[in-house]
Parts: sequence; C-alpha cells; structure tokens
Amino acid sequence: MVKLTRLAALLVALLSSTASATPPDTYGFGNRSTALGGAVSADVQDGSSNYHNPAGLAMSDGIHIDIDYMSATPNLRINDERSSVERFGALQLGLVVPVEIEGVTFAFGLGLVLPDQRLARTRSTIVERPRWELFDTRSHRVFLASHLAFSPVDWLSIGAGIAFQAPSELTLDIRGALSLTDPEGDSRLEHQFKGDLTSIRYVQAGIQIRPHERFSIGLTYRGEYTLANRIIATADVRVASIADLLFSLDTFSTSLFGPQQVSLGFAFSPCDCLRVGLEVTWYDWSAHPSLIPTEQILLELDPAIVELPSEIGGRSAIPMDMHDTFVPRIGIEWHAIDTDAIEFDVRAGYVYENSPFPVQRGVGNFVDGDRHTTTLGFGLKLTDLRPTLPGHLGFEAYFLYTHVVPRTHVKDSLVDSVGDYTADGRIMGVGVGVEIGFE
Amino acid sequence: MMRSHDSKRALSALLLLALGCASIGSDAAFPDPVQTSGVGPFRLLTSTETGLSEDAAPPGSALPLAEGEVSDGGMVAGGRLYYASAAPLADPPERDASLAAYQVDWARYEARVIRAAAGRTDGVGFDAGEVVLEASEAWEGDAVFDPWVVVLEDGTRRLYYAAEEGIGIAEAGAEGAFARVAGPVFLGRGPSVVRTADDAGFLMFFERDGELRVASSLDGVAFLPDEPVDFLATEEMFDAPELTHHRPGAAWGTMPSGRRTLRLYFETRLEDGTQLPTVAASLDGESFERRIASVFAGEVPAGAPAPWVRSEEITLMVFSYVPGFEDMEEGADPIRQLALGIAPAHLNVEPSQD
Repeated sequence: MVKLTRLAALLVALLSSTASATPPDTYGFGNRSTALGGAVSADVQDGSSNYHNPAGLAMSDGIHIDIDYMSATPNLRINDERSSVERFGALQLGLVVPVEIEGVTFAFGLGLVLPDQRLARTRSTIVERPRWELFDTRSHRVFLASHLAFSPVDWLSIGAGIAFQAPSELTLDIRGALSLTDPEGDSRLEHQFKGDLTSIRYVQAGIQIRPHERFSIGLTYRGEYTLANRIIATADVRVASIADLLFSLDTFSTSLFGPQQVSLGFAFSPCDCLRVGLEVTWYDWSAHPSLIPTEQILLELDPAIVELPSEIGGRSAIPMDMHDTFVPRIGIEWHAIDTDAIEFDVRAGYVYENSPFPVQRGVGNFVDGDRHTTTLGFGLKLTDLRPTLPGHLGFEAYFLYTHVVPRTHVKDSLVDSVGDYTADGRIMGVGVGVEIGFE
Repeated sequence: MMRSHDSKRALSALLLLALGCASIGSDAAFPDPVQTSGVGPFRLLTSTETGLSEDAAPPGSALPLAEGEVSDGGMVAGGRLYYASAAPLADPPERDASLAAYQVDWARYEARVIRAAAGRTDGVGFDAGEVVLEASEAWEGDAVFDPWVVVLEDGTRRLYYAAEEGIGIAEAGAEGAFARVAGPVFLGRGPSVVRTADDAGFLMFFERDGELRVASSLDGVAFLPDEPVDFLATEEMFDAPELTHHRPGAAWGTMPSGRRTLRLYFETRLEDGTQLPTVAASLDGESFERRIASVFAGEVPAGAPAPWVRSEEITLMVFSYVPGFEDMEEGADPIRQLALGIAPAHLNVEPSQD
C-alpha cells in the first residue's frame, strides 16, 4: 500500500509540473521500435512504450533504461533544389520501472527526447515560401511523457499517462511621450516585455492483450494537442504633446498541431526465432487548424492631426484542407542467435505514410509527399553479466531510409506569387542505443 | 570487479555527458523562396551581373547611354538588345506641361531611331547599340520606336516597330540591315509578337488609346482584325483607379509542372500619377488572369516591361525607368534609362568565376 501511495504521489507531481515536449511522430522513438517500423504497439515492453503503447510498461520483466541517439538527414528538394531543412538529431531516453504488488504488476515509465540542436523552435509561416511543414520545425521540440500501467492478469495490460507541450504568449507594451524635434533627447518611452510559457497536457493510453503466447494485440490512443503562439504588442504614446498615438497588434498563430491518433497492432511469432508485427494508425489530420496566423492591427491618432489608413494590415486564417490518414506498418524480427549468454536479433520494418496535405493549389505552400520508409537494424544482448550487472546489457542500431514520392503542385492561379513546383526527396537516418535491464 | 555504486556513477556520468552534448544549436535559415510563375517582383541587376560599372551607367542599367540620351523601352532577342533612343535637342521647346512627370516630351529630343546592341562577355548587360532603323516612310513621320524582334527558324530577324501612323514590319538576316516588309499593319503602338500556343501562328499584342489589343496571324505579317485583350474579372484593385494600359511585352514560360503560360507584362498607369509594370497570364493566349501588383521591386516609375525568359527558374526583364526620380526637380525632363531586372529576386546571374 505504501508503494501504491508513492506511485500516486509521483503521478500527481508529474501532472502538476510544467514542461515542454513534442512527440516523436516524425522520426520514431526507441531503437528497437524504430527498427521495426513502429509496428510494436502489440508487444512493446521497453522504454519506447512511453510513446508506442504505455500498456507495455507493465509487461516488462524488470527495470529498463534505454539510451539512444538518432540522427536523420533530410535531402528534400523543391524543383530539384535542396530545401533548407536541417539535420535532426536527438538523444532519446526511456525508463521502465515495474513493481509487483499483491500479484498485480504496476509500472511507471518515463520517455524523453532531447533534440541536439535546440530545445524548441517555432517559426511563423511565410505564406509565399514553400516549406516542408512536417520536417521544418515540427520535430525540433522536446518530448516528455510519463505513464503508469498495470497488468491485473498475465494476458492483459493497461496503461495511460500524459505528454506535455508549452504554448506561449508574448506581450510588448510601450508607453510614454515621443518628441519629434529631438527624438533621442526628449522622448520618454518605457517598454515592458512579458513572456508566458504555459503548459498543456494530452493523454496517451493503451492496452495490450495476449490471448496466446505467440500472439498479441495492442491498441494505443494518443490525444490531440494544439500549440498556439500569441503575440500582443501595444503602444500608447503621446506624440509631441499634441496627440495620442494608439497602436495595437494582436497575432495568433498555431505553431504545432498534433492530431489524435489510434493505433491498432498485432504481433505474432510463427516460430521461436521469428516475430512479425502489423499495425495501422489513424491520424485525425482533418482537424488541423490553420497554420497561417490571424492578425488584427489597430492604429489610431487622437486628435487626427494626420490622416491614417483605416486598415493597415491584418489577415484571417486560411483553412488547411488536410485529410485523415491511415498509416500501415510492418516489422519483422529474427532471433538469429539465442544462447544463455548472447542474443542477436535482426530487424526490418516498412511504413507507408500517405501525405495528409492536399496539393497546394491556393495561397498556401505546405509541402509534403507520400513517404515509403524502410528500416534495417540489429540488437545484441549480453545476458550473462553477473555479478557485474544483475541483468542484461544490449546494444542496438538501425538504419532508416525514407523515399518521398515526387509531387507536383499546380496552382489554380496563373499569376500565383509562387507558381507551380515539384517536390520530392529522401531522408536517411541512423540510430544507436544502449539498453540496460535489471532483473 | 565493478561494484554497484561504481556502475551507478558510470551510468550517471554517461547520462550527464549525453545531456550536455544535446541542445547545441545553430541558426537555421528560413525556407528558400521559390517562384516559377515569373510574376516578380523583379529587382535591378547589380553591376557585377550586368558587367557595367557604376561609372558607366546607373545601377541596374541594361547598357550605357550617351549623356542626355533617353530610351523608353527595349527588348532582347537573339542575343541582342533592340531599343529606341534619342538625344536631346540643342535648343528644345518648352516642356509640355500636360505630361506626367515620368513621361518624356519627345518634342525636346531628336527623332527616335531603333538601335541594336550586342551583349557583353563579362555580364548580361549590353554595349551601346548601333542604329538599325530610321524613319524614312511617309507614314512613319520622323521617328521609329517600340521595337520588338522575333527570330524565325531560318535565322531571319523580323522587326515589329511603331511609328506615327501605326505598326510596321521589317526583316533582316542574322546579320545585315533591315528592309521594310509591311506597314502600317495596325493603328497602334508598342507591338509585342509571340507564337501561338500551338506554335502554328503568331499573336501580336499592342496598345491603342491606352488599351491593350491582340491580333492573330498565320505568317506573322498578315494579321486578322484585332480585338481587346480579354482580362478575367478580378475584385482586387490598386490603391488608385487605373487609367490606361501600355507597352505590352509577351513571352511564353514553362513551369516545373510542364504548364506553359503566356505571360503578358504591360505598363499600368494610375490616376494618382503612378506608372508601374504589371503582369497577366494565360494558357491559351486568349483570356488572361491579371495580378494586381507591380512586378518591379523599386519605388521609381517604371514601364515598357519586356520579358527575357532565361530558364524555368529565371526571368530577366528589360524595362524603362527613371533613376533618381524622387530627387528630380519639378518640370524637369525625366532621364529614362533601360534597366535589367531579375525574378526571382533571390537568384542572380553573376558571371562564373571560371
């Protein structure tokens, strides 16, 4: 009972904390899981359960610590010119801590992805500049998630938890008096800048069912989140002691949207040396809000000593017209060597992601394409390390290749500011990792 | 043998090292601009790109003109720049006060002649040109201007030009003098001739009374009756009402999708005294979609846009502009020059260092 109380207290502490995070939808999470194309929700047990299926935490046979590093280099092109989409590298940490209380297995999990270039990046959308929306800034965020899971019976495990994100609200306030004759000497202007990073949380939950020792089913739900940035700038300035200049800028933009997702996976082992995983994930991309910010700009001069335009800017959000996608995945693991001291697995995976973005016929220029991803990896596990390590030590690696199918964007307008363009590319990535398991 | 707390220390050190290596960021570039529609805005070429030093000509100039010489339009075909220009009279009459500040009062200049200039080897600019056509026919009056050259498959250069009573046609071989073929074929000015969409004939765009018109021809010499250019309706408007349209310059461009569009650049004059080059585009050369924006990135008056499509990515533009317009004294003559612009503006045509 004491342990249960501690676990509950830990969860409450995590729920009340603030952190910024981003799910690794783009490049996967965990070395083994990525090498298997992400088709693991039915039988994942390691630290990557914190993304792929939190129910897997309670199926773990002991404490697991996964430390991975991955690097992906996109070579994405528009009109055969390489786009400025930078390399993405990240440290990935996964933690699984199971405990058994009165015959029921409980587990706590923590997942962290720490990009190696910047903790977070947000860039507003320049409508006229085509950009690879899913690769430009989406992945440049920290991902932090914590989960609890329990397994009341051997064949069933249930897990749930939360991941964190941080939207921002920035305010710039300028007040004072402005001299026209000697702006440097006589002006008295004060400004105040305020920035708030507030946290939002979204749910991740999953269930694993093992009706047979060679067959398992997994179902995972990942909640929707919207990261919005708001910038407010106001100025209230007395100009040359003759008029009050009022300026107000209020811009609201969505910088990142994570669609809710449901993933259904199956894993089966036709023999002791082979494991096959099949999975399909539904992404609710059609709920994507506009990435083009709304702006309201107000400029007033009282008394109106000079004529000011009634409208000096402002725009409205433009619908994205995205559609839902169903992403199939397959992962195959061959247990090539399985002795008392060494286990060696060879892994391969395939993912087909059809693009949720439509052909960009209008003013928007969100570039994307259907993607075929193949992976190849291995895992070497040393299991006879006592007394140095009461558990096992694993070394894992994978190679990833994504082919982005060429897509031609034909504009409705013949005098579009951008014009027609084609987009294609490839992404190559590698990941290496260490897994430490304690009995 | 490693003890338990030793392994914990090693693990902690590994974690700290990994965390410390993370989050070392570098500044990242914004996505590169892309433009394949050729709508600009065009920026002026640099001296490095044109090969003309700033001592010889104002920045962005297409060629060096003589002191006081003015030109209000030109175009490039077959590697040559064809343009009309004139030198100021020694004793000019008073400037016509009814003209806009950006307009040249040709009564204060010698008769305009058409010149051809060869391209430079150190840039995309041109050297000063030689006279290739002077007014000699009765219908031409005392000046020929607004040249537009089409190079035919056999190397013949066909020159369309304007004069007092309309538009004339002259031809020349790859080298040699032009000989008049027909004229006047239309009452109007500013001819611009391109192939039809099916490559079976020719389209001539020209201006008459401030309106753009188009006529078709199978051989490029005998044209069917002309009609106004069909602009699709648009709800967008300039800051001031439009008055007239002038000096069309047409060219086919191909986008990476394979779509060919006929880009029709022309000069738009507004009620507030603004002169700006604008563009419309068409798939068939019959109905045009307009873009309500200037295709020139500069602030000075500009007109007579003539496209020079270099590739799918790059379009150059010859146009006439008034450098130093903002500093011009009231009632002074605008010294109109020929400029070269480029779109997309982030690309360049600097000569290779090799």
